[in-house]
Amino acid sequence: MVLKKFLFKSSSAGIIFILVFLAGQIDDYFLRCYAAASPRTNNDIMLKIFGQLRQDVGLMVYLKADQYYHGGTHHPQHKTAEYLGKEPCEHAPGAEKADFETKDFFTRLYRAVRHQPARHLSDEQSKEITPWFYLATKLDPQNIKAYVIGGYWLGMRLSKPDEALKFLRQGLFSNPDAWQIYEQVADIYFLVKKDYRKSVVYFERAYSLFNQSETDVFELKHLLVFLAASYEFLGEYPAALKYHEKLLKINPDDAKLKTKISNLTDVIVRTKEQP
Amino acid sequence: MVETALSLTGVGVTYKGKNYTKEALFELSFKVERGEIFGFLGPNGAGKTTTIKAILNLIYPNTGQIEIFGCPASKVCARKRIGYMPEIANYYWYLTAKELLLMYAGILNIPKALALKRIDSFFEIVGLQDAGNVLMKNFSKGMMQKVSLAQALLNDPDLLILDEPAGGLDPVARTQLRSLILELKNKGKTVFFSSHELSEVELICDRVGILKEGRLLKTEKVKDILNQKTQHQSLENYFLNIIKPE
Amino acid sequence: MKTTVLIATNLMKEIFRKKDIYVFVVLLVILLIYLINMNFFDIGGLSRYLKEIGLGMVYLFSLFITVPFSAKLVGEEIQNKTIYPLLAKPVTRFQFIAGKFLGALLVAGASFSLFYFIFYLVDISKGTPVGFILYLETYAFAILMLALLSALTIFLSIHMTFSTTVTLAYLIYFIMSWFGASFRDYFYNFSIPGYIAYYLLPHFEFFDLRDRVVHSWPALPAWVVGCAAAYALIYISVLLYFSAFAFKKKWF
Repeated sequence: MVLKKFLFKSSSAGIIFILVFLAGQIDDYFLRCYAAASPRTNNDIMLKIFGQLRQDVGLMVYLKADQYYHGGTHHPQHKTAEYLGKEPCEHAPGAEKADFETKDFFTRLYRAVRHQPARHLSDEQSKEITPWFYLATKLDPQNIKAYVIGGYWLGMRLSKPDEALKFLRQGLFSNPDAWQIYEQVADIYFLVKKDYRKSVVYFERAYSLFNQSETDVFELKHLLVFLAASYEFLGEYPAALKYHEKLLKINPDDAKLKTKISNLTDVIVRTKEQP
Repeated sequence: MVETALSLTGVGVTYKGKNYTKEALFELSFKVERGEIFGFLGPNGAGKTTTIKAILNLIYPNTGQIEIFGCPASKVCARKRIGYMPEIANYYWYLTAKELLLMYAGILNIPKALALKRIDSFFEIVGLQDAGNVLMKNFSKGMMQKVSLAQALLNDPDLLILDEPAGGLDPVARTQLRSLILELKNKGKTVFFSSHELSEVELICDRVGILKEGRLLKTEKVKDILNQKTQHQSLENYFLNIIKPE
Repeated sequence: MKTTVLIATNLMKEIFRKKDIYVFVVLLVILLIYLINMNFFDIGGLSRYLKEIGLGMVYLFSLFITVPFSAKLVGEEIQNKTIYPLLAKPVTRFQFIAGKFLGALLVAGASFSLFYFIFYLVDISKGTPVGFILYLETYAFAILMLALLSALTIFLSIHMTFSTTVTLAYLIYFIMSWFGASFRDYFYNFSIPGYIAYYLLPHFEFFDLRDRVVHSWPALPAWVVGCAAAYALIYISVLLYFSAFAFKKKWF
């Protein structure tokens, strides 16, 4: 009787626990079945149940990746660790000791317990940040940054381009208008896989979405540079020239760019002249 | 000279709440001599349980003094020589009867071997031999009362305080309780108990005290009450005559 | 002392006979198994997420046991009237409170030890353990934290109902753990009353060493361990003193 009661209690608790974890998987499955003419938020069962809380937790989980990359420290702690006389941290060179003097014993005790110098993880260790991107996007599929930065780390730093592309495609499924994700996919095709045909497709898509909504010049330049380079590697010089000229409009004084445009123009002319 | 087991002098207890003040006991004074069986009677709400709680230091008298074998009731030494059986027997559901009694024995500084011997012999008397290892949550009310009595008698107390001891006991158990109390008296122990069972009180008590609305109306020897044949044929009639409104 | 220990050790039987603890053990094992088998992008050798989530659950489950258990100790005793036969014995009110606190600590310690041991086994089986001293320090600090929390909860339970006590205890714990370090500047704006309030609050944030285990930071120096332990012991003593003082005035 006693054993029965115990088995009943623990199996009930176990079942509830497993169901909570399975809910995310079931959620994904139904979303794929009812694919997305309408925004994902309308179909997201978990979002309907938990609402904003899920997104907030997702954000916290995403920020964990940054904490992990810095060896477990939060950004404000970097400077105090410098003060504690530990080795300088690249985030806070030359932090003034006087800023952190305190007679408050509790603060000193807290810092001794909870503060450490920030250390960027080595390439081998940096894989430890990836679970947080995974979890952040599970909790909040609209967290575009999590997809982009996760994709970057997987594709560019951890030599997992296929996994990165799979992850980014999930991001595109949830955020079909996110130019940042298209850009990151294109970057991986260009830099890692050297598949310029595909990189052109994704850069073009990113560029078309970008023009509509963004004003960040740095990102625009990135897109134009890589679009131009992709076309150039494919031998499609007129298209490459078009994008170099757009770049020149942003950087009219760039001498190297002017030279590049001149060279491309020559190549195009020579190509036309050949029978 | 007979030692006084229990002495109350001018004891007053006032309950104070947010919107009320109630005087539960008013200048209560009486003594219980060693070796006596004293019955403490009164209608519901008279203050019997309040008196017992004051004796046990569960509540603090606003006025007066209480002494147990000469030791103030507020001191721990006073409780070393008493055994108390509460009106409502409730014990820790997660302990077995034996574990509960062994815990109390430990608190009373009774060596484990002696405690086990007493527990076993008491269980034998009341018919709980097979229930020693059963969790308290599975005990019936009657079984709980028996355990309650066992824990009161564990340290072979010189003064036994019982609050409505017959409640929840079947007739056989009541008879056993009565014999037990008389046996304790023969050993020179003192018993102080409150009860509504006047027939039981009549059979075993040496003296009774009658309380009404916090005031002690009368203390009288049972023998003398019953000898007054012209006025009272029983303790019950005496009791009813004392407490009736004037 | 003997009375205190007796009251405490008998409380242990409750948690193991009530079986709630086994439910948490099962949940923890299921969670750890799930975490071990999680595949993140086909990357092998990941361990920090396991430490973070696993250790977080260990702490959380310990809290789920400690706070409600401590909160009901005094109130349930009074409500069920089991306090009458106990206080009718030669037991002082201070011994009662001390016994209840020690019992709560034993229960919290036993639960945490069990969960922590399971976590430790899983962690070393993954092949990326941190130094043993750090595990030991984390364990000791967690026990101190649970002791402080038990004492606080018992103190609150003498003045409040069960549900209010549990809510307030959890609130104080989580607020101080997350924001305790940031409170100093805020409270200092209020001059002396602010200083008093800041120092009166229980600083649970001193006792959380999870980040050290997760990110393999070095072990704490001895002076830090000593100071934190002294803080906890002093605070607990003060709480118990005031608990006993308040309890002594109670009528039953």
